[in-house]
Amino acid sequence: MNAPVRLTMTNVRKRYGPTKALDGVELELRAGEVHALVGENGAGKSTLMKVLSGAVRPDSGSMTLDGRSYEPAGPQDARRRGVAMIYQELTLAPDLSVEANVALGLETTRFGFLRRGVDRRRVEDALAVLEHPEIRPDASVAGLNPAAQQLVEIARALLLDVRVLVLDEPTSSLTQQDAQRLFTLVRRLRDRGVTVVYISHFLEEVQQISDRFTVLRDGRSVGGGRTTNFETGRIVEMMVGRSLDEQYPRTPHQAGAPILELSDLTGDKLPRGVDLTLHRGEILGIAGVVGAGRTEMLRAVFGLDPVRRGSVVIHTVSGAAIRTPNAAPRRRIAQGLGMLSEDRKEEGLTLDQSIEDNLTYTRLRPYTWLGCLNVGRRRRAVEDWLGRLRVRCAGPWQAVGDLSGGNQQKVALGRLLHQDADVLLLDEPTRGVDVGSKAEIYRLIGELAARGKAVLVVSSYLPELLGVCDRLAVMTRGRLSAVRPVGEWTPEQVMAAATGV
Amino acid sequence: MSDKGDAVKSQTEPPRQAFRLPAEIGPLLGLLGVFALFLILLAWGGQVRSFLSLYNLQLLMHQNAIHAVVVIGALLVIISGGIDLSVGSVAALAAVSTALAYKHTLAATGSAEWASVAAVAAGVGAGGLCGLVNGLTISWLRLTPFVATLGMLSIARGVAFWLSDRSQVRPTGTMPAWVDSLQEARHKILFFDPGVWSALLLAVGAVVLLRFTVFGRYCYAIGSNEATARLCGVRVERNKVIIYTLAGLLTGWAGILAFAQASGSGDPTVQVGLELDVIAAAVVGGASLRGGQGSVVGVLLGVLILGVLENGVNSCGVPLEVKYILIGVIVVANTALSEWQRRRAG
Repeated sequence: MNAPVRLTMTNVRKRYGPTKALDGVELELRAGEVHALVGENGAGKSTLMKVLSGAVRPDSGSMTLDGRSYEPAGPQDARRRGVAMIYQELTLAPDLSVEANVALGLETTRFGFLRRGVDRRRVEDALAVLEHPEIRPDASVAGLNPAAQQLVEIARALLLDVRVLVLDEPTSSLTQQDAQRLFTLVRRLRDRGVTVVYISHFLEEVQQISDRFTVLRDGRSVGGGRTTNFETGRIVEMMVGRSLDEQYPRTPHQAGAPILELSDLTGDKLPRGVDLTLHRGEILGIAGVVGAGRTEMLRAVFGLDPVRRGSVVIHTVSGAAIRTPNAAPRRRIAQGLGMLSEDRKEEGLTLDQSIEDNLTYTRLRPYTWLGCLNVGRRRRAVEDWLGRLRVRCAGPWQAVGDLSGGNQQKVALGRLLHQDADVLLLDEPTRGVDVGSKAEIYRLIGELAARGKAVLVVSSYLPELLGVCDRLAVMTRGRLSAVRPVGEWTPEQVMAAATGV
Repeated sequence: MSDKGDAVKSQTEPPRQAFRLPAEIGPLLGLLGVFALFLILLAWGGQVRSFLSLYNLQLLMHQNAIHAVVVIGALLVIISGGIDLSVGSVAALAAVSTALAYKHTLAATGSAEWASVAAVAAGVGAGGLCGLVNGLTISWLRLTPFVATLGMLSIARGVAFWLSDRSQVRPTGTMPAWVDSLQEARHKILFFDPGVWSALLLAVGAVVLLRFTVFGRYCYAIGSNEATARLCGVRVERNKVIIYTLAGLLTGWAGILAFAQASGSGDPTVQVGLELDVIAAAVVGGASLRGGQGSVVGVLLGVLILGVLENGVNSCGVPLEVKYILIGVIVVANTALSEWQRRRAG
């Protein structure tokens, strides 16, 4: 294939603090091709997209578009130059009509008044390309299904002369049938000379739709080529081929009796029919791509999301079994469960409140008499905890939002320790945490298991799961694989299972 | 969910040594500022002696007792991330209920003591009931506090007019001593009138509630981040019902003060716009309408700032419109300043 080069990236770098999000990326996109961009979570795909779309400026490196230098000042500028982005989370205004959404920001006006007739023709032309006559210009966007809404977003890109169309995980919320119809459209756009950048976790889709691909790993482009020349397994190797360069302190621990049993656990949409047995003194990891339903599984167990089918059984020390599929978080806490949220800022912590408050919300009883708080006793206890957790702070009274990400996470995890939970549900326990704090969090997890606690870890960072856990399972589109000892998994097998190969 | 691995920011910076002045320092400076402003203005006009008199101090406190009582309830609501627009109407309804209960119990029993007990119970009870309804509408029907209490603003006013037959309810005979002493700005023994002392007592109770009880911690947690409160097993809905009911009970007591200050009569038309005065005072006093922040001392200082403003404007003989404009400027400037501070603190 010798189509002309459409867009190039040369040695593009971008760092956030000490983190190198992009560390010298090379990318070459040709006209009229579907180019897949693959890589693990955190490999740098989203930063790369933001650079392409003008949302983020690279620190160094150069880009060209159709032979001319390409330095977008912002997303609007990039769009005008013909580079459009369809994000995983759609950006439509649900109360406006299809026509108003497609034309939004690009309305034709004369003396400040809308020229609705002109706009209508332009929108109709754009919609015609979709070949989905059921999407009418005057329909309300809120009434369309996700697949149709996505097409409206694509129509918006078509309103301008689109040259590079970036699709981020476009099939994650689509049914199989809608995905196939989307592929048909993607091919049609390609045949019209549009360059489609296709970002996906699902390698079978990549094989099916893309002409060429590029693999990102640790912010670098580590390989690529014509898709037909590579087996899926080879692509997976390129994605995971990293060294286990981090320290995983292991505290010896021994799995004991079962403590948490899930059978056929099914939530509103995700998860779908999960079976799992967690033992005392065990660290069990759940791998999978973002959006596979791992968070939803933890939330359903903890009572934050409803359980639609299946059962949650908790075994107490005395041997009694508590069977309550649906119980509010307050009861789950009383039953010995504790949960660490994946999102510290939005859910895990009350950032403008003090460290001592955040640490003790779930167990104020030891400091309480008739509803009154013994503030002094609590402060002394919290000071003790902060030392044990090695939180770097000015004092227990400090607002938790003033701490660094790693220390915030230690407080959030410390809440579960202070609560003395027997079952710890940890969702991305090291997200946004520096390397030093990571090692301390691993140490805490190991110590918990050594004390007979059961730990369920969800993480998108595979080396960490392989380094810390005793057993591992992979979740794919809401379903959980068999649980196997961690030694029986290779990184390639986990990636293959997670990406549905 | 998005790929957040890329958005990791610097984690290696050492923790900031956060030394912060108490949050009340801002409102305190504001109070001193307003006070100094009028001192200069009045010294210019030669009326400074009456402004600085003890009687003027008594009058200032007397005039702001109702605001002080209501702002404590509003503080609870605002800390938990809500808002209560209904306090003006609920206070009027409580005043009417108080007057009606006094009138009818006196007619039935002939005893001023029993009538007084019934009157206070009716006033506080009417306020508490309105607060309970607010809380239930917000928790069970999942309406936003703005809409739920906007509805109550209209309903309570309507019920007040209905119960009072569209006119002042004026019990016959002489009023008992407690009504008279609440009506007077000065008091022989207590110096301030008992209404002021009741506000101070309630304020002390609120300080204890917010700082030293589990319920108080939960109020801040809910307002700061409701999702976190849920995650930590806080019964958010139940706590909200309690918060709005407490606010209603306090508004009921304010209604009784209004009843006494109107020489012992229930007027369904009083306290229109009280909610705006109170919210303004709370905001000036450092409470954040986003929830999670605010202190009793701060909002009481807020009430005093607006009170001194009103009192000073009256003493100056400055036209009324100046007062309104000044209040608006202070509210906006104060909030802009604290937002600026928040951004700088990161």
